[in-house]
Amino acid sequence: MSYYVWLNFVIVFMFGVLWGILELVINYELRYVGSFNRKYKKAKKEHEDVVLDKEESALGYVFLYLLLNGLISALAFYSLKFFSKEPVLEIDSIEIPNLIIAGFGGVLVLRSSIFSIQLNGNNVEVGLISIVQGLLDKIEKKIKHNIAANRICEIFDIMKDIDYETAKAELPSLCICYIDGFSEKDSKDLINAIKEINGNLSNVNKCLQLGREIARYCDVEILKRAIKKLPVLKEGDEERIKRQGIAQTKDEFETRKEKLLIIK
Amino acid sequence: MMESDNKIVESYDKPNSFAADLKAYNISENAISLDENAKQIGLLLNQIETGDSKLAVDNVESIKNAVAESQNASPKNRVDEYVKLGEHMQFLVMELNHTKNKKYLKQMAVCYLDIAKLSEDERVKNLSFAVADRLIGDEVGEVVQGREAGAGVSRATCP
Repeated sequence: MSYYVWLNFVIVFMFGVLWGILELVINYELRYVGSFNRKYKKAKKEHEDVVLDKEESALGYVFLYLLLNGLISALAFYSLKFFSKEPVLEIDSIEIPNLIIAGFGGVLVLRSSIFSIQLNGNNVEVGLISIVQGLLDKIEKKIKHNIAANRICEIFDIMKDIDYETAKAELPSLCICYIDGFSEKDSKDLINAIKEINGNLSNVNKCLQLGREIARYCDVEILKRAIKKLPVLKEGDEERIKRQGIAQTKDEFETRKEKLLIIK
Repeated sequence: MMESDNKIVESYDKPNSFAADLKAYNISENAISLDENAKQIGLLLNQIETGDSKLAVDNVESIKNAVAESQNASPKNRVDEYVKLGEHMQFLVMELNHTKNKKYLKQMAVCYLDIAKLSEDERVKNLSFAVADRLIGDEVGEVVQGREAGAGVSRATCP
């Protein structure tokens, strides 16, 4: 068996793997494939409750998916040689046309279905696609979990010292200055989302929700910088807030009402 | 289609429009309470005795109009009507600040403070504080005057 046999199989295998990587890169945020951001995992005790177990890592499924892609492409290459009655073990060059055909063929076969059936109102594809889809769904689920956990920590770090009532008025308008294509509809959606934040929740919880809603439209980094630009957003800084006329504190209204009701 | 969409995005003045949207949303959310408070002001106005003061009569009419106009108005117009209401209330308080009407003026001021709080508008807030402070200040003034008068009497009667 010549050296070229291995080389051809390795190339076609890598073709399938690269195709799989490309698909994952396009569809998912791969930086969240690993279980958890080390910054939060090691450095901060306050995030211990949010740090996920090793099982939440999507790496296993990613490797399995890439391996499947590579193997199917290699199998396609073997089938191509086998059905054209060419001896596989006697390859003595890099067969570029066959590699391309086998690479694409494998990728296509893996994503094809023979037929589809209706099951409980859902369309279920029967074929290799169901395996691929199952793996992709697993990866997506794990990645989403990781994104959520990381986001809680990121937003908590940014928003933990913020006064919600002031931030609600100031922060969204400052952040959206930096967002390209922020439309009227986005504005309405963001306002609706802010309005749905329950007033009875704790300040930190409300701030976390506010941060998450704003982070849907702009990068977390923008949120962080916007907060730094607004030092009056810090909780407990009410005197400065009053001086700058940013917040209408409840006290001002209530004090006057009380005085009015006391006088005869 | 794409071009027109882009135009909408470009013409949307993000921070200012967002702030205006947020305010409009606040007002529409609190519309019921705002209307109720405005209605209360209207009812309290009926109790006010204007006497011969034409200025007071005109201001009472203007407040009634502002209350009527504010109902079912768009959020922006609603705030404008509340501003008008506050302006006239300020004049009315200056004109009618005497014992007979004080009770109703106080209640009107409380309702207007609620309107200011719910509308979250800076102009309405300032007007409501001005009206309330005027009433509180006058009361304090009256008390001080009364004490001074009392002191004068006691000094005069002292041997």
